[in-house]
Amino acid sequence: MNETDKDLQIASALAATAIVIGFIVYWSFEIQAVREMLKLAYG
Amino acid sequence: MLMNYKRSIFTVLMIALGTGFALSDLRIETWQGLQGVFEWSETTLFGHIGKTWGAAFAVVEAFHLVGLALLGGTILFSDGRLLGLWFIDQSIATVEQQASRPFSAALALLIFTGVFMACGVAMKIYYLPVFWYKMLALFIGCAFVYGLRRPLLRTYAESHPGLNKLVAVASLMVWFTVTATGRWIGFSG
Repeated sequence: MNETDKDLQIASALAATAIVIGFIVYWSFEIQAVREMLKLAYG
Repeated sequence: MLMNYKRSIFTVLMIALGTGFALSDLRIETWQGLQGVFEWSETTLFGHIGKTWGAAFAVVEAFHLVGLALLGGTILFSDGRLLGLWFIDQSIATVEQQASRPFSAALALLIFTGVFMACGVAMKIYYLPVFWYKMLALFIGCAFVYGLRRPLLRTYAESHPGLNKLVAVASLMVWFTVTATGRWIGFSG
């Protein structure tokens, strides 16, 4: 495998990992916020 | 040596710059700076039609939802193949080739109808954080698909099953965020 091929694969793996982490962080905060609002509304 | 890893270096830089932007005051300053653009967009022809002619807004919104459905279909079709869930008798390259044009068409339809709808409710969405998260996810999704996913699968579709699965999961996550935040905007205010 030449270095250009490797570069594309590393870049894809990095970007995909960042997206997965970002997704987990974002939706964790959103779900937590909804849970807190439900708690305020219904106890 | 480093010059052979331009894409990787660019990706790391974009992730670092994006994280820095999100955590700094520059984000607020940029948001404030864009207020004039949103005020102006409500005064455009699209803005007038969107605000005063509910039926036109509803028809455009229907096409927006059709675009979302088509986009979701192409993503499930191609990412499902990457994950080995269906169409395993077809090569990844064939599935990617068949999905790429409908995906781009759906994206173009979504952006065109989305701009129209945004003009009609510009100041409402300007103050909705979820709208900005959607725009961020849309930008990341487009950059990921056209900058990395397509070149990767065009060249090495069958060669790296683990990487293919990671790319498919990331793609599903980013487009899920785009569609879910889009519907959230629809139900807000």
